Amino acid sequence: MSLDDLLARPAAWLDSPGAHGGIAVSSRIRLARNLSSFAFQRKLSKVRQQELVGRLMETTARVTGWKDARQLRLGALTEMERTALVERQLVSRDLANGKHPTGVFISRDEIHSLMFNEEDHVRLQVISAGLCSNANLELAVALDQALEGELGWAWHGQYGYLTACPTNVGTGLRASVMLHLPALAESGELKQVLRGLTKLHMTVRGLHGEGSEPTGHYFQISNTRALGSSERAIVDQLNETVERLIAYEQLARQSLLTTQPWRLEDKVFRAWGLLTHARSLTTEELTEQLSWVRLGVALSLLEWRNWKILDRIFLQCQPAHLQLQHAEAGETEQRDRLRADLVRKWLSSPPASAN
Amino acid sequence: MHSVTCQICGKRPATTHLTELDGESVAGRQELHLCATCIQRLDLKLESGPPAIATILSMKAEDVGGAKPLTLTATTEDGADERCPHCGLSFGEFGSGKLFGCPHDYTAFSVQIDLLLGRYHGTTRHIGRGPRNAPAAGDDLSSRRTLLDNALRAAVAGEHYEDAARLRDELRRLDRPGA
Repeated sequence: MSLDDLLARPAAWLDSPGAHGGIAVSSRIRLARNLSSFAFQRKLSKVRQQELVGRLMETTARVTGWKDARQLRLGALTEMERTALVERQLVSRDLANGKHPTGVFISRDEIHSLMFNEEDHVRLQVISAGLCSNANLELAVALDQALEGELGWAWHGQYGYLTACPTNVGTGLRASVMLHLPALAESGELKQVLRGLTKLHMTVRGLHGEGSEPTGHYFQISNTRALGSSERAIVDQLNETVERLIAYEQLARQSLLTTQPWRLEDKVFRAWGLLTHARSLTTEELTEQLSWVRLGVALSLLEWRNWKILDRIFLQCQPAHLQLQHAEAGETEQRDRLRADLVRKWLSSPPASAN
Repeated sequence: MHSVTCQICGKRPATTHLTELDGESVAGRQELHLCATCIQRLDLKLESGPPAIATILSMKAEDVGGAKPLTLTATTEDGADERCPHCGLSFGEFGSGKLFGCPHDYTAFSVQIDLLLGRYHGTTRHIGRGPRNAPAAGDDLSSRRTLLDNALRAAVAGEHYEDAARLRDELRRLDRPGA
């Protein structure tokens, strides 16, 4: 099955400005679940893993009844297609790179996605744009309950939902919010602020979750403890923490604007100049510069304001998205040139049109 | 209750059992089982108020004559080679990959798991949802609209208005032709 129609669409989690003037980009809920009738992956034969993935795909399709959902076995995809799913935040890098039988189930709007035979048998994800962890939790729990009746999750009276790694046991919940924090980063206060999160049992990751370094001033904040607090309490604590970080970022933006407006403007206009004139752009350079343009749009420093275009550039200029949709983007050099061409073309579009 | 071996040396029977409570709740309960020899080697002054379990575990094994940091050892009479009867994983094997072999490991290694969970989560007891009262499959999910409707009602009830607004937009999108 071709991924073409999926790749051309906007992503569920990227609908800028999101919340709080572009600071809160997206929210994600992940539940880790395992079937009591199967061993965890390291003790499960390849044959049983195939059986497990087949059963999970069949059950999920039947229980949801979502006719327009997409079911994929990762083994049937090219490496590039698997990477594109990572870029869309629909699967983890581990699932994309794994050599064992795996699958993914994706709702048409990409808000729901379930990874099969990742570290746990099921990783159920609900992701959407803006600050909406509460609603995402409701959606995740509804699907979890429906699947539970059919699949029989591994459960322990004291420990809760059992997972392959003891760091996820209990609720199996990881709730995260992606924040765009350029002013805090620029002011030099970010490190200290983020260090304080450890005490609150929160952690910070990059754009693509576990194992990814923060780039483009995007930071994913999530809980580290899955046991000992209810799902609701975990989400409440995340919301509280995130709201505080948003307030810090707003303060840092105001402070830069009032004390050193030229410094901020210089960053934003240099980035704008570079993106509207460059003839070759790497992913890293684009992510970095697009971050400043995003801030410029959020603070109305730029006359050009078109969030939809910013999102399109962000998503569609990632390496696998480019390569799968443009035959001429095979080599790195060609790809960097094509990326610069697309960015120039898209940024020259009307400032506030929908597309 | 069967006799328990010391969690420091993993060999001798434990004679001292430390329990830590986090507040009033049983959720914060942590235990550590020690033998007299290890207590002496670690120079633990238990009579004048024992150190925190985490402090004991962070002590270097030089203190007990080794070079590595202390690691937990199996604590039942079978010692560290004890294996899960279902998947065959030993607790030592778990330590190398940090992943369990099957759900039964949580029962087979419950003493070590209590300690691990105490360190990771600060507690050993789950609070939150469980698999009870699961609705029959297909009850709510046959229609995406029902699912979003339910979430919207919950968001409004909980006064999460920003969520509610998003869900409302989502529902409107469903109404558009071709959706």
